[in-house]
Amino acid sequence: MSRIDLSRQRCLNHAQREAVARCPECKRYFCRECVAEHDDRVLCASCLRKLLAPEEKEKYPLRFLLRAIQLTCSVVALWLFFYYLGEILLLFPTSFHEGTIWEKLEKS
Amino acid sequence: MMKPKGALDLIEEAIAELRTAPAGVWISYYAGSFLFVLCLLYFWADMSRSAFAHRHVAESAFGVSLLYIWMKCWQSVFASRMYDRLLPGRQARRSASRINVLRLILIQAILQPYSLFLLPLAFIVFLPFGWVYAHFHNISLIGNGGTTDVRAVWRKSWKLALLWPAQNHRLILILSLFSIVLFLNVAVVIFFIPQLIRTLFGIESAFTMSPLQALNTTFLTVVCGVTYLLVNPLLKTVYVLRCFYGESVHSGADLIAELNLAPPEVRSPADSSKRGEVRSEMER
Repeated sequence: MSRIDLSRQRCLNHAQREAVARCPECKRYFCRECVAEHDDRVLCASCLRKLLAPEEKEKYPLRFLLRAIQLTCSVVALWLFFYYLGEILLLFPTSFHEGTIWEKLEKS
Repeated sequence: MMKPKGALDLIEEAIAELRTAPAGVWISYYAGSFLFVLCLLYFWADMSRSAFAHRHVAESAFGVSLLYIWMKCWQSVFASRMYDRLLPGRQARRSASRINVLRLILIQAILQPYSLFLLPLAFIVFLPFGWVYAHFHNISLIGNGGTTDVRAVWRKSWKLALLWPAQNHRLILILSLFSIVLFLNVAVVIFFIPQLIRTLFGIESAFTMSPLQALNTTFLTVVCGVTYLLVNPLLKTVYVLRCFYGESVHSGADLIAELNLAPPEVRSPADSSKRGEVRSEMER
C-alpha cells in the first residue's frame, strides 16, 4: 500500500480524523491519539491491551497438569527412542560392530 | 512481502556472525552438545561391545534422554544469544531479560523429542522434510522461555518455517553437501592419525594393521558426532537469521538494526519518535 492510501484513511475510533499509522497487529488505521509505542512498535490500544494481558492463567486452571502430562509423554517418547536404539544395537553381532565381519567376507 | 535473501548470502552472514560471536556464545553451545555427543558415543560403544549391556539398556537410555534435553536447552540458549546479537541494543537487552530457564527447559523438553520421530518420518515421505527441519530449528529459538504456551511456540515456529520455501530448500541442499564433504574430511583425518603415529613413532594399532577396521560402527559414529558438532552451530545460526528476517517482515527489526549501524548524520532523522513511521511504512 502506498503513502497516498494512508493519507486517505480515517481513524477507526475517530472518523473525522486522518489516520497517521497502521497497527501492525490488527492492520487497522488510527490517529495519533489512538496509538502508542510499545516494544519499538506503534500499536493500537486494544492490541496493546491484549499484548500486555497476563498469560491465560485463569483460563486454564489445569494447565500445570496438562504441562506435566505433555512433559511425561515427551520424556517417555525420548526414552523409548534411545531404548530401542540400544536394543537394535544389541541385535547386531559383535563382528559387525568391530568391523571384522568385512575381513571375514574378504577372506571367504 | 520482502524479497528473501539468497541461500548463499544467508550462509555467508551466518558464518560472519559466528566468527564475531564471543566465547560465551560458543561455550553455551558446546556445554550442551559436546556432553551429549560424548555420552551418545559411550552409549553406542557400550551397547555394541559390552557383554552385559542388555542388563542396563533402560537406565542408559534414560541417561542419554536426559542429556538430549540438556543439549536442546543449551542450543536454545545459543540460538537466543545469536538472535540478541542481531537485534538493536535496547530490544536485545529486553529480549535477553525475557529468558526464563524453567520455561525454556519445559518447552524444549516437551517439543524437541518429537523431532527424533518426525524428522525421519518426513525424510521418508520426502516432501515435507524441509519445513519440518526448519520447524524444529526454529523451536530452539522461539521456545527460549519467552512463554510457556506450547501451542503458541509450535504455531510460531511452523509459521516461520513456511516462509521462503525455495530459500529453505536451497539452504538444506547446500548445507547437506557441505556436511558430506566435512564428514569425509573428518573420516580421512581420523583414519590417517594412526598411520601418522606409526610413521612418526612406530606405534602399531588396529587401524594400521587392518584398514578394514575403520568400518567398525564406533568409528563411523565418532565421525558423525564430530561432523554434527562442527556443522550444527552454522545450521542453528542460519535458522536464527531466517527467523530474524521472517519476524522483521512485521517488526522492522532488520531496518532498525541497519539504522543503528549507520553514521549519526544518517541516523538522526530516524530517532525514536520517527521509528513508528518507518515501521508503519514498512508494514505497507
